[in-house]
Amino acid sequence: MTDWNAMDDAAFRREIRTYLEAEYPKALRHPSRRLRWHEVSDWYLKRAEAGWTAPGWPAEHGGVGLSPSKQLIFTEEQERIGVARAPDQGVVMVGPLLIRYGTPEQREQYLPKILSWEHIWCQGYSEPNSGSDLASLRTQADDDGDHWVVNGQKTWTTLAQDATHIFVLARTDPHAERKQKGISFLLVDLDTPGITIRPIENIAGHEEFCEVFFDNVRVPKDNLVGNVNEGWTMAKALLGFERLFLGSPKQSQNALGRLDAFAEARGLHDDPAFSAEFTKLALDVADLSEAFESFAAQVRGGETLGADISWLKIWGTETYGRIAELAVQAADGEAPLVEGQAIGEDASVDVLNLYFGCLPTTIYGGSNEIQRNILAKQVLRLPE
Amino acid sequence: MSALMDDSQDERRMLADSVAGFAGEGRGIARARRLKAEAAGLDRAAWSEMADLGWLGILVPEAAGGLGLGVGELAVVAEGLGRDCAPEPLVDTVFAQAVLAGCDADHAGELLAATASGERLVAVAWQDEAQARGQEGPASVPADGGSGRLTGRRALVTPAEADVFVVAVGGPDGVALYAIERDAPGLSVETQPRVDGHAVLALEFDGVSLDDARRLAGGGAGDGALTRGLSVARVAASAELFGLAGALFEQTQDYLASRKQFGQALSSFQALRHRAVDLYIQRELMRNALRQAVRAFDSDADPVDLQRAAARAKARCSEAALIIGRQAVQLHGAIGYTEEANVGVYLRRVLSLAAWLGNADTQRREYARLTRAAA
Repeated sequence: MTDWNAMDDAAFRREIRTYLEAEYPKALRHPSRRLRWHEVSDWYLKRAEAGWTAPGWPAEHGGVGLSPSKQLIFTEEQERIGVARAPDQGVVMVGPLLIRYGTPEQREQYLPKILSWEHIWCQGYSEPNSGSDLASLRTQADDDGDHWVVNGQKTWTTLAQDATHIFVLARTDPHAERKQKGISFLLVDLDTPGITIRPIENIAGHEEFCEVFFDNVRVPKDNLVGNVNEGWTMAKALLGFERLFLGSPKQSQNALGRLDAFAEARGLHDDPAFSAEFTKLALDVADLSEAFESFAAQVRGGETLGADISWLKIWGTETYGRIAELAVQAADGEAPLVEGQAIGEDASVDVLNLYFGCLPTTIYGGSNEIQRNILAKQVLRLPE
Repeated sequence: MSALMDDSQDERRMLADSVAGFAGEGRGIARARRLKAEAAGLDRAAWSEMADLGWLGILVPEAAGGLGLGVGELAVVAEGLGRDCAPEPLVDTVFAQAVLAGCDADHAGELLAATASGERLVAVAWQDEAQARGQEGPASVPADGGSGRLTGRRALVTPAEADVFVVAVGGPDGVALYAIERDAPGLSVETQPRVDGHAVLALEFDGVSLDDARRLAGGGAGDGALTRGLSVARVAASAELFGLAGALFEQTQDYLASRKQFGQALSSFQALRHRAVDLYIQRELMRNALRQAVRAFDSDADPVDLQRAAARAKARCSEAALIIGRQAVQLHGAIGYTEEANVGVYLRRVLSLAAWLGNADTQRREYARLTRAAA
């Protein structure tokens, strides 16, 4: 078996790039919306056969066992070519959670099926009244002998309609002294009676997330991960270097590229007012990329990312937003056309797609307001 | 303390320590206040101290009495002086030195050595008033040196205490550079005060002789020297702005944490906490823009890449330092609007350096022009 970690970074990057260029379907590159499982399953099942579902998991659990530095290269190359994201919560969250906190039986039961995509997981965190203040969540799990009985509602559950399982943060001790205590981590089969999934249509007309209702759902006690009432701590401990990618410059770079193509086709670069705005954004993206590389170098060097990574998410997503806004302005009267703006024989730009694309980025992954709170407290250490 | 070093760069670390020692407890801002209040001009004692520390010769080759170091080391010193609000014209001098280093005439080397020792002050005169609006580079240098005589104006020349000028003159073969003494016949010098307490000069040339003895670089050779000089100086100014903005930000952070109103620290109000974070982001952007520029010089990139990297750094640092300076005054409240508070002294220096060699808009135009020309 190839020892990928022993390979030098440039050779590894070349290897991955060549593989993706050759194998990854052109039609699925840089998709303009989150793709559904049936649209991406061919690709991911093929990768599963090659043993590449979970590059970051240790080899003894069926992963590739890549070092953080190699994982970073792998992710960068995927971003570069625009690989569509899978419903990957099993790989990203459940696997690492079970590897760290799960019982041997849980690992045996779930890990192989995550790797084969037989199980597709979604994340049951947010609730209608618990968004940014997630720890206030109210979905309740009551002790009933060898089962937990779950009642409540989750929302913004990405691609729940494609999932077979959901992992849920539920309140197991409503009387705990702090709201972060008394929350437990449960693994739930979506076929269990009492679960209803209702897709939510988003502002762009796509159904990327759902509401999930729990009505007396009986979950075996064996499906509790780690200790009871310690779910919050575990969920937080799993936040790793993946946070880096919330501040990835890729979205902004792609958006700037689309705007550039439009401006080129319509001669807008000759307009000094447009050119000034465009150049300003180009430099915002350039400095974002520089900062991303600097944080990536920390990961490569084996350092843990600090709370200061939050500024990258703020700047990255807000830059994306400003680019989208300029694109809408530049398209002027054509901006609201749902079929986009032609820029030649058979090319077009879709400014609405950029605009709707940027909107959730400042909300998800911890809204930018929450990121500012984190920076004020943990980095600037401003007294409250 | 600096943004521009990793742990392996001992030279830069030692320089940073040395600047911090020189700065001491607010010595720089005391000189900046005196400069403004008394129109005192250059503090010769501080200047010769800086010469003794070697900072006036950071970029100057060792053979000419300098330290022979690079733009990265220069940036460390400029940042440190900026943090202290030191008013000395280091970046102006560096501009002249980087131009002189690209000149082939023998006396260019002599002048260079004299600037490193602090014995002479040299200023670059390369633009007239009209071009000062879009300070792009050699292409905009006026061609007013017909028949071996120079008749025309050069504006915004610094440092005001210069005793010799490196004058750029456009021509069919490109830019030529001449060394013209301040007391040269036919040259009159007008002084205009600048907000930080320094002055800038407007030079009026009336048939000043452009003879061979004065020539530093012939038509064509001057373009490269001036271009490189502008790039180096823009990075140096960016580093000083980074230091100024860093100090402004930290003073504001401290003030928010200590000042109480309504019975609580200002920093307890979320609107102000978020504002502070936005300023912090501006400061981090400066750090990153500056880092890429230093790296471009460290790796000896080609001149056009250096120009773009310098324009990018100067665009970011000019803009962000003004944002931080303006908000530092706002967040200090009424006291921030007084001479007593430090933030105003810093802001006046920021206003001066943000405009020097072209503000953010000008740098972005330059960046766009170079990028489109390369495409």
